Amino acid sequence: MIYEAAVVAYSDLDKAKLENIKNVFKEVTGEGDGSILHEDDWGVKVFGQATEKGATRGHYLYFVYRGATTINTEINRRLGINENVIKSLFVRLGKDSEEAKILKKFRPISTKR
Amino acid sequence: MEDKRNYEEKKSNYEDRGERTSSYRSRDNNDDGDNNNDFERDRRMFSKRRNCWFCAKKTEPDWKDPQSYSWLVSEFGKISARRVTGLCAYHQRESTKSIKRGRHMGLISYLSNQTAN
Repeated sequence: MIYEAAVVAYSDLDKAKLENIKNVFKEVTGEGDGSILHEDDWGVKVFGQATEKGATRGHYLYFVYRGATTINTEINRRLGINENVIKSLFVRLGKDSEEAKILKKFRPISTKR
Repeated sequence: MEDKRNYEEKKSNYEDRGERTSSYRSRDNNDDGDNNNDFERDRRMFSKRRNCWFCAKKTEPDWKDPQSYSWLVSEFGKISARRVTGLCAYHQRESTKSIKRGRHMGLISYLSNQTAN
């Protein structure tokens, strides 16, 4: 299956901590016979609404990857442990056979605006 | 049967007065006897509907792009109904899904139509 995932980290993180979050995806997809198809950094955005804990901005990271469902469980578990992550979202895009179709349709968010 | 009888009865009333009967349909029994109101109601119900905005533009609502769905959210954060937005059923479903994902990711507010920037 092909999935997309977005992670919101705290906006004041240094590069090393952001790299740790990116490595979670790289490691887990590598271990589970998956691969990262696309990786993007949307930068810092001001939220539409402040979070419950009072954060008003966050650093958005975006990934498109291929792998089994168990990969999502493991990534979700590791992101849950990570203190630097505020929010995360996983969306199924389609089956492996539809990869070409999905990537053809896909446009990075930076080129859309 | 009762509906049909009402319909026939009202139709004959219209015909007696020489009024137009082609657009008249009997849908309920609470007729107030005012023919002008009936026609006005019919005109509103059968007026031509707008085409779906997403179908016309050949785009899809995308949770990653709040500009694509922020116009479907009211100033109090409520998702507009299909009868208001004029979208087709498919795009109304998809845009609702996108809005809910966007809310979860902080791209659009739960309480207003303010988007992330």
